[in-house]
Amino acid sequence: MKHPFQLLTSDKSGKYLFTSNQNVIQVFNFGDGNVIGEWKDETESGQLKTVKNDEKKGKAKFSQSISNYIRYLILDDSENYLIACADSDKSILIFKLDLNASNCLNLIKRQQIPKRPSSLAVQDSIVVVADKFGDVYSIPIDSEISDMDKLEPILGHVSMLLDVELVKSKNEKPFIITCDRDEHIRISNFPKSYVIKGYLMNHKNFVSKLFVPHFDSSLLISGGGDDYICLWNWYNENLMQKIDIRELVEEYLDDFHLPPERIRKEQEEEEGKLIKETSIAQISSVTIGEKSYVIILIEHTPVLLFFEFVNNNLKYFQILKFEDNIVNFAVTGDEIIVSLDSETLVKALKFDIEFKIDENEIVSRIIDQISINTDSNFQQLYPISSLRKRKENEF
Amino acid sequence: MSNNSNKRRLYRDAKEETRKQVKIETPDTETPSDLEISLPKKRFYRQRAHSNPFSDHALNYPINSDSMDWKQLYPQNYPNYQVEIADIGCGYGGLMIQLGPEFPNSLILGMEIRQQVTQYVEDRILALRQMNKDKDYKYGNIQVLRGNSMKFLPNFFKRGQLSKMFFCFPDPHFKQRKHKARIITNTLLSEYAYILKEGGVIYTITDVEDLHLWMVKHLDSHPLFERLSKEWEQQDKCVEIMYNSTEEGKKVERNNGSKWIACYKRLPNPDDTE
Repeated sequence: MKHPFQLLTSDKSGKYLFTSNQNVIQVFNFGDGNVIGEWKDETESGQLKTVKNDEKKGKAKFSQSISNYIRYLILDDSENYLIACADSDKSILIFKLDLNASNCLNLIKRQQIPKRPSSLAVQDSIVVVADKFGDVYSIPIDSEISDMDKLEPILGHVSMLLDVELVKSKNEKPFIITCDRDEHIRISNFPKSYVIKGYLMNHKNFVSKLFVPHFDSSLLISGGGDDYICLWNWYNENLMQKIDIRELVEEYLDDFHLPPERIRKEQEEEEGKLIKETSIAQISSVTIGEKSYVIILIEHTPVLLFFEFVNNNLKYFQILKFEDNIVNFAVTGDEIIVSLDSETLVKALKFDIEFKIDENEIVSRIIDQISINTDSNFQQLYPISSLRKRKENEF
Repeated sequence: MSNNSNKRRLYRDAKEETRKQVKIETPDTETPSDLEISLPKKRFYRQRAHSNPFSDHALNYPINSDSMDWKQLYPQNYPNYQVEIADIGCGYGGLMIQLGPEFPNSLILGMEIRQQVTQYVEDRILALRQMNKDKDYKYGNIQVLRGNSMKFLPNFFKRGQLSKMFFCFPDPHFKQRKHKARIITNTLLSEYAYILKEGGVIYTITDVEDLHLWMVKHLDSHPLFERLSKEWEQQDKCVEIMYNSTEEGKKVERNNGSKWIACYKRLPNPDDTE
């Protein structure tokens, strides 16, 4: 069977669809569904093996295979560069896009960083990479490759970083926003990131996703392991709205969302029942005419949640169910392309009073050209829920 | 469980009972009730010196600094209940007990990651308050919290809130691989700069020369800190207290070890930052 796209992204106009499927990046022309670029990570990794925790230490027993995935795909503001991360050697990949060439992906730089990247952002030709060790590195697109040991972090948390955003205030001053596994969202000046502007604190669990909507860059939507998402004015450090999402998705939660076996007994004793846990996998927005909608994906669910942005508030608009779990989605102009964990693989959405599934030929052409066939399980498509903190035993 | 550790646990349990009683019966009054409270004995609270700052300890901390109820921690009435002095990794609390009477109008908070050591300091402060309830100075302005300062300081403190931060005899984390676990790093200093007011001071002291050089290197290279001179150190009361009064400091003295001091002033933010 074909492996679903783990990542989808698009340019502002929605002409091209950038995808990653295991260790392959494919670029599609969204006008005709043809592949216009392809790149495969051929790097062998010393770390591509199954990690098993030591049972003797009394720690949680689980195994996780680290595969050779491409994670994160973003375009710079000029849309001349595509930036990605490769799992194999913990590196940042910078491609120059040449849409007239037979293969539009031209790798111009592969910069290794010391720890596993967890997110990246780009603004004004500077890429910033956040890693799982809590540090952020700055990598200019045009600079020479740096010796990995000489890279100095521009900021750091004593926590696992989960997302990073580069933003500008109303007066065009740049800032960097970072979020971590210990509930913090930090706003720092940029590039003088040693001056912290402030914190946005109202989460009780990890914060996995930050999203600054294109329709108002003073806003920030954050979400993670909580039952709610937060709408902030990040510049004024003001919480504008807390939006409950659990109620909306409760019926779509299944055994995947239960806490790990080892703590179920304890939870049942304490709470009287098992509590299913939600994790935010993706936040994005789409503008249709004059109206803007925020789209939320909860990990391992078959639904997209739509909220309309009205009077500086998010108002519930629609929930759209698919036949299988959604892995990722991208907004291409005024359409939405959804990657599904099923034989269907990809669906397109169009807006007509509300968002509806649009059966179109281009999507079928794209599906035909997916190059990765696999029979492995797709566990890695759902990495976020494992970020939840569990009480550790005290010594 | 060995006989000894059992004895230590029983002692701590009994102290905890007292602590609860004081808190429940007299939450807001200035003087604790007539309970007999004796100074705790350190040997019942000893804990290994190291703690991993990266692990998910079961900690209590407020969701943000606005949610912190300081009145619960400081029994006397203070004008605005703003902690101004923090002793990061306060250990057995020796520094605070000396600083308390020196700055009777400032709230002082010790933070310690080890649970039993925190309990010791808590019991010690309770006992001191009880023993001094009829005196002018009653130890009402010092308190301790269990916490991981490397992760959660912004949960407790607002921007520019503190005027002094103390880092006394921090864990040296000798191994290269563990250097990020050190309490002074370039990236953490930005967070300390955030909660320190302009002109505020970071005090460091250690008996490990290598760690001293590390802290100096990182503080020197941070754009928001500037080292204070030897002359300044000599006239500063806190330096003197820090040098002489902490348990670690006294231990170093007994062993004829050296102590290295470095103090840094918080510089103003650059004009083009917010």
